[in-house]
Amino acid sequence: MTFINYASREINCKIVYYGPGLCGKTTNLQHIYDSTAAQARGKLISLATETDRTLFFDFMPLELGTVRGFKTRFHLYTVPGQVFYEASRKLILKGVDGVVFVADSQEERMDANIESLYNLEENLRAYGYELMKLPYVLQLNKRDLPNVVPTTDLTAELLRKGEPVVEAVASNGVGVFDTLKAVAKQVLTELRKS
Amino acid sequence: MKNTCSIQKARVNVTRGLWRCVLIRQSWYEFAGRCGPANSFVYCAFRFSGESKVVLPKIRCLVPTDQRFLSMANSPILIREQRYHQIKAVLARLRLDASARLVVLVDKDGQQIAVHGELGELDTTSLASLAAGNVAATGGMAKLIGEREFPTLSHEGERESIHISVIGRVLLLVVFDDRSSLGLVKLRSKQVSHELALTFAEIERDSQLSSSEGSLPFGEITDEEIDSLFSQT
Repeated sequence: MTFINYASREINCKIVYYGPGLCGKTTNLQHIYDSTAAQARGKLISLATETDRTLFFDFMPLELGTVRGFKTRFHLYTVPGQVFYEASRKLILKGVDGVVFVADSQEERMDANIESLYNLEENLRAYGYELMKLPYVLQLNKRDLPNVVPTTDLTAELLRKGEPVVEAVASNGVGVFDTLKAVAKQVLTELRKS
Repeated sequence: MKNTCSIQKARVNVTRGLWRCVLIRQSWYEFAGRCGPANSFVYCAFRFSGESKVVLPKIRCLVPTDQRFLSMANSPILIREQRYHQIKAVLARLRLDASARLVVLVDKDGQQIAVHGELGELDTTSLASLAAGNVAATGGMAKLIGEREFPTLSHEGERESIHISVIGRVLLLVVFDDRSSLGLVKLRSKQVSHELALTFAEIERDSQLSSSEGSLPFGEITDEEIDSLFSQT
């Protein structure tokens, strides 16, 4: 849910990184955090297990700049990818303005991608959202690994509506900002329409 | 002409899907409630106007089907200066009355709406996000044991404590220390909750009006302006 505050001249939007376990959602946020100036971002909050698996969510506020005199601030969230965290994963989607689906390009994770995408659509519907109408980007992550599925096959399985597709290697930052830019742009464009 | 306001707490009875309130004899009232999940409590604000006698509206809850309703789930919330200062005044009064260190109003989705008090180095953006996560998680637990939600949450520390009240779709978070007590904070929070609910319901009504009239400030934003944001980072 976009918040526009006339008093503080701020627009706040919520973007959620979704995807199967270990696909690189937290790595995306970590790279954004490491690569942005301290004054443009807040703390990176990670509610993780002792083994660094996301338990509830990661959160990071990021200020992109000013448009029409309003500061644009994006609240970036990740969900826990592991299947058994379904209840908490669903909670994070509440009030979402844009979604990034981070797909794991490895062959053995194909089923996990499909299951997670189906789960995303289900959980969005529970809040009255339709993936087809929401700002949405598909990120194909881990493109540097040897056992990856060709992008044409991945998109054939995972593409939903002609959304932007970004090839990425989040661990070294490739495609991370392109993904963020693609989804943020759609969120702001959506704001223009409303 | 006489104008009065009323606020009601309505229970949603449907078991599945989303809902909305439908008023009987709608011409008498202006509705400022909001869509929400099934089986939840909501605050609905009504403005009565004209010379008609004031009759409390009857509320019927329906499962909506039209697309216009579904799109409301994601319409932007606009807070105008006047409303913002109204909220700030309530928070300032609460902080004083409850002898609290800090009072924060947070949207259930984790967006900070307003804050008043001793900020110091406190990261209120993170606090807002975590409070929303906390309420969402305990709300999930509530549902598992057959409760609708837990309307208040308290966390008591050695020196600092937090009390959170769920008021419709917003959360009122009070940070306090040994200058106050949990009982006092609870009491004072409850006293302002109706006022905040009414203000926020009006904010939602304003937002929906602005959205439907196309009077949002970004209607004419250009692609170049959007692109330029990324070169500023």
